[in-house]
Amino acid sequence: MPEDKEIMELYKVEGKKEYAFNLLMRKYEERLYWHIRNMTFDHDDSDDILQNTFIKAWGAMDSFREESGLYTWIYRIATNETLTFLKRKRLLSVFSLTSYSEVLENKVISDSNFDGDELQRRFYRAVAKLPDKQRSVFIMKYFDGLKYEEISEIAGVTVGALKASYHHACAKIKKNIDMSD
Amino acid sequence: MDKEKDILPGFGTNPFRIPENYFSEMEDGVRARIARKADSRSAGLIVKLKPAFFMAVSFVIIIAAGAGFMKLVTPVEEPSNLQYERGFLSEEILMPGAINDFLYFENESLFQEVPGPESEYDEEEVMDFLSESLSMASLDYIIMGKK
Repeated sequence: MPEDKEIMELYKVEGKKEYAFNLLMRKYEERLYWHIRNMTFDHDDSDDILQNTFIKAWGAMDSFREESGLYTWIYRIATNETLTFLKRKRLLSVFSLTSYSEVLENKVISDSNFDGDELQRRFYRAVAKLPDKQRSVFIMKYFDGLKYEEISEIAGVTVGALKASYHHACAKIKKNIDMSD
Repeated sequence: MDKEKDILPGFGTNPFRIPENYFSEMEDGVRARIARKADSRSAGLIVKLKPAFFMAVSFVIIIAAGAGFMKLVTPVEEPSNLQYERGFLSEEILMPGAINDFLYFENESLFQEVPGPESEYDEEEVMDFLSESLSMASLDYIIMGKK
């Protein structure tokens, strides 16, 4: 798979834009999908957000100045799209009896595409209980393995704040898993 | 070694499944949406203005229908020349203590066409009739005015 720099150079060649974009999609679709899926716990919602992410990226590639890495840039788009989606769902859930956090937990419980054991199910339910922004930091660090500096660039938050947020998220999850024993 | 990750043990493999061929279908979906967006952008100005044009036509029809309806239900106004005559005549004839009853019954005849030489009314008869109702001063004015 070509490097990000090669993809961007190919994109600037006349008649090769779509080919370069296809390479970009193929390179990052799976990582972005799981990043989004761990936020939404729903395949269909994740599919919508992922498609919207790539369509936005296509629209913005001409103005991409390569100040940050291509992956950081597209990751930021995916994170913002996901957080916007969740914010909208939370606002709509004000009119229902169930909070959106409970909805997310129920998605983990009832997901037919979940093949894990009981401990894993408790773990993901605990992750679902975290506030959205804290959950995104936790997912980027724990699941995606990003460095704090990279997360700082994506989220626009200081490294110190990220470390504190991640530490608290871990403590909350551990507590939730232990409580459900 | 990541100290933070030690806070929580790893939870093994990813427990979620995805549908088969999902990613290739997702790519096709993205390409189709991008193509649709490009097609709608390249549509001519006329196509883009069509909805606005039809909306404007609808408004014109509604306004015209409303104006037509208002014209039907609004009472007909008197012709302006008769209004002028009424105003003119009321200055001269509707004097204090004068012939309000006469004018009430005879208003219509005042606004008819001025009798020409072929008039069937005898001038003497008209003068007799008028003198019964008008004061001498008013009558003189009318006669003098006519002359």
